[in-house]
Amino acid sequence: MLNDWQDRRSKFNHDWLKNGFLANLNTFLVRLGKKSPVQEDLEFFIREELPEWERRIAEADWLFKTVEDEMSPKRYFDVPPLVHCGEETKQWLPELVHTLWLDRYPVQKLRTDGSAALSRANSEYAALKTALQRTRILSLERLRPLKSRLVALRDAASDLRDILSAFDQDVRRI
Amino acid sequence: MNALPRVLVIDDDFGRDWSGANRKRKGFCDRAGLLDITSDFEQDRKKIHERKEDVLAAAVFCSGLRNVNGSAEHDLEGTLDIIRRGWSEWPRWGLVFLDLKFITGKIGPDGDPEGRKCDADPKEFFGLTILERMFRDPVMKEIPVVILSGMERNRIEERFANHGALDFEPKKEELGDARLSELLDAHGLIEAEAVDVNGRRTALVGHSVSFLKCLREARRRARRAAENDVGDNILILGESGTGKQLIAEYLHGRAMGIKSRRGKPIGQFRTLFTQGAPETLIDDRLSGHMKGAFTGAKSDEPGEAEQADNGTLFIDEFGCIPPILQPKFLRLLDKNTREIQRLGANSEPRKVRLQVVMATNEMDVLHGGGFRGDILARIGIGEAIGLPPLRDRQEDILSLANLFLRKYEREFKAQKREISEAAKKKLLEYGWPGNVRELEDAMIAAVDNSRGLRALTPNHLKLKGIVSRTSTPRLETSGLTSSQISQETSSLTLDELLRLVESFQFDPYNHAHIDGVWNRLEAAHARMLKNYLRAALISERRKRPGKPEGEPKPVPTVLRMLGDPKKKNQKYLAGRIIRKILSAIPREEIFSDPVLREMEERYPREVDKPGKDDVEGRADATSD
Repeated sequence: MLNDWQDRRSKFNHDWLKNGFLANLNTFLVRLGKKSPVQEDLEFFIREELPEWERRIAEADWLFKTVEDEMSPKRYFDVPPLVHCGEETKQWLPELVHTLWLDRYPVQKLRTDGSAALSRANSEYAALKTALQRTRILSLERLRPLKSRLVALRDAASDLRDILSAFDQDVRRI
Repeated sequence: MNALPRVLVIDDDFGRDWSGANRKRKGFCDRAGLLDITSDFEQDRKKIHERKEDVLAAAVFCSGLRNVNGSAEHDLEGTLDIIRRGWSEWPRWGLVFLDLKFITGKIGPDGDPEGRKCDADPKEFFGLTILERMFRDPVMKEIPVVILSGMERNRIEERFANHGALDFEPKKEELGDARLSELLDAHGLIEAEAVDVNGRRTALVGHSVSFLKCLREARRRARRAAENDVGDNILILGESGTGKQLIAEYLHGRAMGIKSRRGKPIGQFRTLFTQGAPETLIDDRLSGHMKGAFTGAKSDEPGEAEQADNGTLFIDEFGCIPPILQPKFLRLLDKNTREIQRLGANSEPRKVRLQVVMATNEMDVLHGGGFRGDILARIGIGEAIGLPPLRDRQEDILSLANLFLRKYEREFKAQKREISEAAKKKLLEYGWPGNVRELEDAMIAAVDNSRGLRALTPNHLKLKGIVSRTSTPRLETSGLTSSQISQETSSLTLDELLRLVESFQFDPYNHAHIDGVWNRLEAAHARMLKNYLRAALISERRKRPGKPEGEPKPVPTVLRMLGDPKKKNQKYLAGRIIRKILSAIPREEIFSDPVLREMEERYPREVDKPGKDDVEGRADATSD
């Protein structure tokens, strides 16, 4: 059974970031490269799909902040059979297991890298948003010069995606 | 013009949006170069038939889900039904993209299901359930499937690899037209281009599964040949008239296309015919000669191998290469040497880089007869491209017939004609022992003999024999043809076949399953035993002077079949068993097969008379 963190990671990373936001961003880049893309498609991305970043990105922040607690093998002491351990054992064993886990697996490094990637992606998004605010008319000629900013956002968001994917798929056993 | 390849995308992202906007699908199509032809997609139907420059394939989308009282639920049977229906007729799925995770649960106001924890559990991936069901189905397991998912693959790699998935496309946001083109090329069951590298219309026409699989294998081998600096050796096996040279040209075109795109040097397609030619001529054609090498050698001449440098040397009827020339071919086929020396040359042999394509219909190649072991090791028997006989490509017969009709109507300046329904029936029922060449000859005669007519009727079809598609093809005296071997050795292992037969259950409520099947069951059982006997007879054949195809040895054959070499009364036992097996098969079927005919003559069946079993059987029937 998946725990809440994995479930929320899957909904954010797989369902929204990979299959939604990045897919839409890539589509937009492909359309920008076409001779005569449908104007409505271009506008829909800028007005509806791109701003989703602001609505969803806080979930990534939550994932990085909580991963260490939620994915730690000390969680096994919250459910049977280890929940039946004596209170005295519970005083020290879960923390020992947690420390061993952090020692053996690069959870904290991933967390730090992830937060940095999130920060980079947010900066790229902010820069793109500023550039778009100066572009009142969403014509192909005005949008094409923004391609490098869009690519930068895509790359940063892809890094974020990769780091989120790199966290364990299960709560590990130590 | 060929139909656009058709792909099926089974992914809940596309089509689960019940509000109808479905922008994701449109975006996916734009990125990957697909034309959405899903029935719920509003568009001009005519577009399907327009080959747009940036469109690689037509796509049908299936969400794999159904709406049950406002909740999205997995729809396994509905999805399998779509897969099955789209595979049963042309244009069928050239490739299926299959997602792993399908999100279920209550559908929110935005049209998206809220999701359940089990959706993301790799053990529960709905995509794997679909894949496993397809793999268990003898028809659907032929369908090429590529997993298309953003999910982590490590924990399920073995599961999807073991159930027939051909590839894993990791992130759909990166699936662009270039990648789609690669996937279609590598795994897709797609038609050959309508024109060859020189812009000529090709006769590589057909979309039967067996033929498309052959083309896919040819593309794979051409890719490998183009990637290898010294080229590759490729063997094509097929009956006479199946179009082996066309496949060789296809291999050449594909390989040269890849090399050209990569900036590698490309070369010519050269053919070396060996059948019926004297050794010296074959040697000269292959190697070339120096001035004065023999009487009449007035100047230095390169051989076909040198002229095919960086290109393709096609050796037709490879099985006819005389033993004395085999060492020379060995130097050419050995990828470590790849060299050839002109007749009369004193210098070092010349190095060449080329793909050597060999074609044969001689099963001696497979049995090793007449070939040195080191040659057999280099020609890649295990990876031979098997070209199916026309009788195994029934759905291609009419397309090919029309292709030849149009060609010869133009050539003879004849009226354009339609094939009547009766003529179509005759074409489809005929066994085509001479394969595509025989069909072409039949169309030439039909057009030439009635240039002014606008209908082709059964009278115009002068077919050589009365071979029906279902009859057993004749054996050639030199051995079995490739297709006959391939008919005998199906993709099932013997264990799998026996398990399948033993576990087969008849549906007691389906009359078609039961009514009048007894005779067919008996006949199928008898034929299986007959095929077993025939294979055992061939495997036990002993070569003798004057009998290069070998002499059957009934006693060791039967002992081998029974798996007990110590049986008593061996001669009597062999005769009894062979007679018993053959007596269940119609005489004419036995006489069309030289191997079995000899046994029938050696162990003639007894004159039919009612046996004990018959009498008991009748008594049972009466008491019923």
